[in-house]
Amino acid sequence: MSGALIRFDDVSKFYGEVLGVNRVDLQIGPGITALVGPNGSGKSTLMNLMTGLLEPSQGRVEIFGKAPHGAPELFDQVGYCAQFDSFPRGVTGRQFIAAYLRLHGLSQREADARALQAIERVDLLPAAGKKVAAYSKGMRQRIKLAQALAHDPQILVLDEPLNGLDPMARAELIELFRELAAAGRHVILSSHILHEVDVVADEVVLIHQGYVMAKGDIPEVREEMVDHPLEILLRCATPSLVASELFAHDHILEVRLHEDGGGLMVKTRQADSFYLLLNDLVSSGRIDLEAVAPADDDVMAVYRYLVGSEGGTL
Amino acid sequence: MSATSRRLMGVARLEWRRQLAPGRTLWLVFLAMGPVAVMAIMAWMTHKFGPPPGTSEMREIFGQFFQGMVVRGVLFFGCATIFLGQIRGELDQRSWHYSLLTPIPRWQLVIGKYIAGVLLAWALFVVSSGLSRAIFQLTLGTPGFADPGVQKELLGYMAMAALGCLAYGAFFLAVGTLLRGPGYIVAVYFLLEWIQFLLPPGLKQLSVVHYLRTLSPVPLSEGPFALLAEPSPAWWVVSQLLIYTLVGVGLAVWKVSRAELDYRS
Repeated sequence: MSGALIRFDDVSKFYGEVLGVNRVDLQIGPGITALVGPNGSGKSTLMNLMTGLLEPSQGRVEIFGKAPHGAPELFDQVGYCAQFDSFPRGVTGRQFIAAYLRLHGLSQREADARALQAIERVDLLPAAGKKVAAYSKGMRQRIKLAQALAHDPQILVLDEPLNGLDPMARAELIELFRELAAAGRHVILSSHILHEVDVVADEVVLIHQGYVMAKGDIPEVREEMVDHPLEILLRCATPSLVASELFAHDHILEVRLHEDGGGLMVKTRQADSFYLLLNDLVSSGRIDLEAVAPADDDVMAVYRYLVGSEGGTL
Repeated sequence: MSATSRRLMGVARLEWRRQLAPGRTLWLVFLAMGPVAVMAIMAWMTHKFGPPPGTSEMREIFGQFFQGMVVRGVLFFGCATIFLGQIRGELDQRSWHYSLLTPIPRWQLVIGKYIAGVLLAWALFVVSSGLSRAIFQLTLGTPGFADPGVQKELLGYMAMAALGCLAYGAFFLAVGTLLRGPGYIVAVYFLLEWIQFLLPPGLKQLSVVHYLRTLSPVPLSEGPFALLAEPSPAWWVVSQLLIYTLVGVGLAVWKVSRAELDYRS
């Protein structure tokens, strides 16, 4: 992958006899990449490996061509918002961020200014002078994010960054992630909420029980799943007429009436042929369609097919 | 200022902010002021009830008081509070990852924290040792601060306190870094410090009290049951304490440099 700054080569991580992740080969490029999987699937392990907080039991992790464990200079270029909801004692939001910025070599004045900028980006400015211990869950989440962003890293690793946030704050942060990705940053985030990932990510890495099941953009991954025929929703006023036209073709595997009676669910293994057929039928005036939409090429469906889990929150 | 010094200062500053949280500060100041308060009461009693026994007996009493209350009590628990609260404290608070994710080599993180802890311990306990010895001088009737002998003794106690902070600091830093639950080791070590006079010479080498006792400005009796070790010259004892310190800090650096983040308690 061109521009990939993060590489996993045959990486496994075991905690004693417990598997963290197994034989992961992965390259992560610019844009927003989401690590998706249920709790305990290995998302945080991958993130801790790429930030050097853990070392692989086998294989090699590289960021900017270096192993992150033992290469502290990388951390001028990497920001990590970890899952731990904990902070040093007695600090205000601004002090928390400024104190760690000073460890990046900034003067107190620079650190204070950068801390306030980062706090402003996560819309927490009014609370900058309050003790972090008095913050709500959502505010703590945002101040952690501000801390990860404050030194303007090229790679931003965010473990469940939208946890505990209200819908408005989620929308604002998703917008912020998009801005960062548009500026060429690598934004790697994890989530177990599938529809959230569908909205935000350019690429997804689907993880289950320590294994990477698939990687890519969702339609691309979906197309590769040849075992599962593509499901397409057709909205039309005369579903029975459309169904009879479709049944005449071999590549149509299943047609069923949509539960609201206003359309059909069609299963096919040959999406291209199917769409050509639809074009013919519509242009010849034999059927009339209101809308056509893939019904199972979202991340929820892909995950369901891969691991047999029902969608939504994993 | 070089990049390394700037980083060490940054780590130290952060550490002071952590250590000087209100509850902790109160406890540390209470510990540091303990010997000063005892000496102040003693001076008042002398003033009120008449002159003390004799200067040499009183000096030995202060020497024993210093070994008992100051070294085994104030320095031991003060340094345990400060240095166990460093890396072990951050692990318990789950805030250690913030430091590991900065562009500072891990050995510098450890050294920066240790230096911060030592400076804080010195500011509290070396000053309180000097102050208590100065107040003690008042109980002798003649202040005599201009007397070079008195000055030497006062500086001697302060130097002992400074060395004690270095060695205990290194011990607690290492124990806190190497062990998840250092409580038992601290308890055993505390006991060891109290019975060090009964230990054979080889085991005495583990005791900070043993070294500091040797440096005492006044000769101190160890009681009839003591197993006496060959007395060593001051330079040798100081070097031993510095080696003790280096080993402790070295172990902490070694552990932190290799360790993965593990917040399990």
